[in-house]
Amino acid sequence: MWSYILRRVLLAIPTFIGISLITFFIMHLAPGDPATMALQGDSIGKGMSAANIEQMKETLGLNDALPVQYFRWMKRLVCLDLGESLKDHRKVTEKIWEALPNTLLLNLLALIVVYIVSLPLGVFSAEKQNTFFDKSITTALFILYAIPVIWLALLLIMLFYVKLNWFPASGIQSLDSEYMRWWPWLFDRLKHMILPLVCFSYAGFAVISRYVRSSMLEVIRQDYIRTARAKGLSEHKVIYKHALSNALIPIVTLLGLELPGLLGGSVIIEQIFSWPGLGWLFFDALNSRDYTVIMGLTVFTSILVLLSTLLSDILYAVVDPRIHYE
Amino acid sequence: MNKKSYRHFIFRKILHNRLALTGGIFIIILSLIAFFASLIANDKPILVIYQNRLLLPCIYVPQDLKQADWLNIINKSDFSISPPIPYSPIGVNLNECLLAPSPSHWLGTDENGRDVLARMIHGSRISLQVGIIAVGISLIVGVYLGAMAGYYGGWLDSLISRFIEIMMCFPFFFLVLAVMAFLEPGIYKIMIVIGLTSWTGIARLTRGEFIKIRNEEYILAARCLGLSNSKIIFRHILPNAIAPVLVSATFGIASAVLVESSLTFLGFGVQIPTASWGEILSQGHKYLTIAWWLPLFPGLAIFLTVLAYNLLGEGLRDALDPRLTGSGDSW
Amino acid sequence: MVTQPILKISHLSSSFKSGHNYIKVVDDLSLHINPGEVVGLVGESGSGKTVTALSILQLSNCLLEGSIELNKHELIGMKQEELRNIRGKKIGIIFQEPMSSLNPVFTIGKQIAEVIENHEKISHKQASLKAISLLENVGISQPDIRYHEYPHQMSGGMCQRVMIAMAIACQPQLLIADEPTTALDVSIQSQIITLLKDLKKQYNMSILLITHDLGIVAQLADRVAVMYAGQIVEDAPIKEFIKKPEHPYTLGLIKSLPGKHKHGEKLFSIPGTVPNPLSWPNGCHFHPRCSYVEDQCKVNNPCLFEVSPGRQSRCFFAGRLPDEK
Repeated sequence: MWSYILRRVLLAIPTFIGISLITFFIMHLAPGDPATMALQGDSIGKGMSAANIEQMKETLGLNDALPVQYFRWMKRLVCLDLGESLKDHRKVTEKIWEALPNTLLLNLLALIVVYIVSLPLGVFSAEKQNTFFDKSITTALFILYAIPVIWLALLLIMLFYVKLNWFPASGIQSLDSEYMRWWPWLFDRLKHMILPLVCFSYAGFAVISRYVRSSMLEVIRQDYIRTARAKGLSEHKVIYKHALSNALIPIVTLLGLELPGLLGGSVIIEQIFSWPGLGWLFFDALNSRDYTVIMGLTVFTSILVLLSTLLSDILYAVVDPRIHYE
Repeated sequence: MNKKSYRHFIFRKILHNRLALTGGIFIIILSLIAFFASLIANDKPILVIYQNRLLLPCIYVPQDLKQADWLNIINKSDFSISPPIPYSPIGVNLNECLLAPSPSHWLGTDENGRDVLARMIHGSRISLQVGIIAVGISLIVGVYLGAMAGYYGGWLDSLISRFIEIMMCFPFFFLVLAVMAFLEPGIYKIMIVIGLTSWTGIARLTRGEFIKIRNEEYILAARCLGLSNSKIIFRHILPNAIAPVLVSATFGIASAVLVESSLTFLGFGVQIPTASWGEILSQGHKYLTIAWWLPLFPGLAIFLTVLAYNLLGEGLRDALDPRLTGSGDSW
Repeated sequence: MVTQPILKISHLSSSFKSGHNYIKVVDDLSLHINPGEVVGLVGESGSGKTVTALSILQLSNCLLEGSIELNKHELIGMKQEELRNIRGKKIGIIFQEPMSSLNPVFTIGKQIAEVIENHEKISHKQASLKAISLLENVGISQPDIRYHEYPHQMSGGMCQRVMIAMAIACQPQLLIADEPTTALDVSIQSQIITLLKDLKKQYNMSILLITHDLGIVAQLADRVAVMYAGQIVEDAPIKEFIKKPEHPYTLGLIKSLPGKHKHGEKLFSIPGTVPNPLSWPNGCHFHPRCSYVEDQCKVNNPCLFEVSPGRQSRCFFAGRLPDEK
């Protein structure tokens, strides 16, 4: 097992380098260059002469060859220095650090909700394959999956906020939350979380439960399930002990694959619900053409994805005895 | 089964799948609407006989009438046929903004007084164009890279697989938006960017199929006959590998339509005044409390389009699944 | 004194559901197994022998007609809880592919202990001790260490021993062995057969040995039943069978054994191929390939005629087939 894990970790390093290369490439797609763009964002800078801009470029090292610039950037990247925001000159890492917990909270909760709902759903659908239950669940999930998140979010707000006023439509807490006691404060936070949480999780229901269902169906066809029945075990034990334990192994790896989708969705959902997370920060940076924050976030989220993929690979090695005991 | 009868076989299977058929019909209707959008929703008449000239203003406007007031011309004309929805998608009319659905504006109007239905009809053009062309690009890139990796193996495979893995680390929207932020927006740029960032799934699929097929005996036979590599790839392996890729491409079109709408919703897609479903939705976000028709209808359109393509993709997948065609059971 | 057969199969038919039709793969099969007897069920692939074995424990997804009696209790139509009481306890079964027949995520020891715990009211610790002694019994060295190993850490032969241990753990009256050695190396094959012989003596159980290998049957079985295209065509004590088969098909089988040929002579094979269940011929299933065929064979399906006490053959000419030189 440890050799497998070591191999995966080592493979992550060229992937990390690749991520940085592509990010660097995108940064230099812009028609202008970082200096001019930085100065354009700054009202004082607009009045600078061409000679001053040249000097600025020299100082920032923008006239050096691209590979040199790349290595310099890489060095800073490895030291976790993502530069300064062009908008308010705060460190990018600081802004990310502030926004990260909010996004992680929603994403992790969404993952938990998705799995809590999808696992039983997938198992029951497999057990009752082709019955009315199975077919209607599959249909309902299929329709649910096709709903665009931008539409669902707006519909939810229209229904639950505008019409019913059950849940708020923006922010992570109410304005007077600082004055609340412990229990109402928690309740307030939960109320703010519900609508965005639904938007994050609904698509996952269809995907994960379908995976669980097909994994279970695959496993149930195996020889060792026939052996379990031949031993005289109850059908309950056959399905929930013998079949499920095998079916869940590939599902574990899906954990890592869900994260890129969730992070991508956060750009839209956090913007709609004014949830101050990474996606909202990204959107804000896009609008103000804050290039350092844009690139910093792109690199950061990619590395998050890389780490979560690595984590789910490691989890797979731990959980599957065939890899664990090699 | 030879190739022609195989295609007929698959086609018949899809026809028997009523849901897939419904999806397919919806897509055909939508495509027709998109294609004839100018004739369906326009403030200019389809056909008008004016001053003894026969004009087809929806298709071509002669130089001297470029700035004409068409309402006037219709009134003064000898004969005219107007489109069923006599509104332009981009004509601003501030007297009529934010009106609820009514007999004169079936789906209401937006903040600039433009008819929502007209905008949606023209918006279908954008959605379908972006969907198909973006997927076309990702097909070309994905199939090519996947085929190279799957067929040649070795270091080329390792390199391409590593590249695919790297690309898959970028959360899709972050990548697309980051690129769009650095470039000036435009519909063709959107198509290219979506195409160049969503080929990874197709590449993986193609690679898997090529690896499976490359070891089959008829390929070994072709090699022994001395056929060149490119001939083997394109004429022998590719037609057999393409089936699951097409299924993926169908789902990809649905995804691309979603992405375009989302990009435009965020303000980084097609720019005003071009009509797009996402743009109407973003207005819906702004006027959520007072204009329920603005979020409802374009969202419904996106939903139905995505559903239709998903149904078609599922139907295709079921039709191509060898297990369901009832071949060979052994006991 | 007439011994009651432990297992009595009468006129069993098994049919698979395919689309809207049912395809019969076992046709009017009758077989009985006496206590302590080893019966070999022999046939080529596609003859229906595995389906027969699975149908006894109702592990095949087939529609069953006819009767299967275990000690006078009818198994077909039995309630699920009673059936579970029989599986693993009164009847044990081992399969052809031992490595895929064991659950890859549980240790082999736990899987053996599981069947013991399921049928007997003993503690987990006692069950594992019993499992360890079973492992020793089937010839696995260092059983207390092997107990904690996973199937993928063991060879095919060892996995089959584990399967045997699992199947006999509750001392069943009947062990069904479905092609137990087909997937194993030849050197391991004889070890497994010897093991089965020893265990049969030790536990005094009957064995239904299903195989396509006449050699194994000759080593282990007391009686042999030959299947062809879903039917039993001959049922005889093993020695009499090998000396003189009484059915054209079995005649052909014995003739095609390489040992019976002179050096340099062309090997005999029965012309034609085994029909699949979708295209069983009318009348006798074997008639298109038979060298003794007559008109009535093409129309009527022969039943099992008694050739001599304890010997049956499904042929109109049973007992009257000319001797081969």
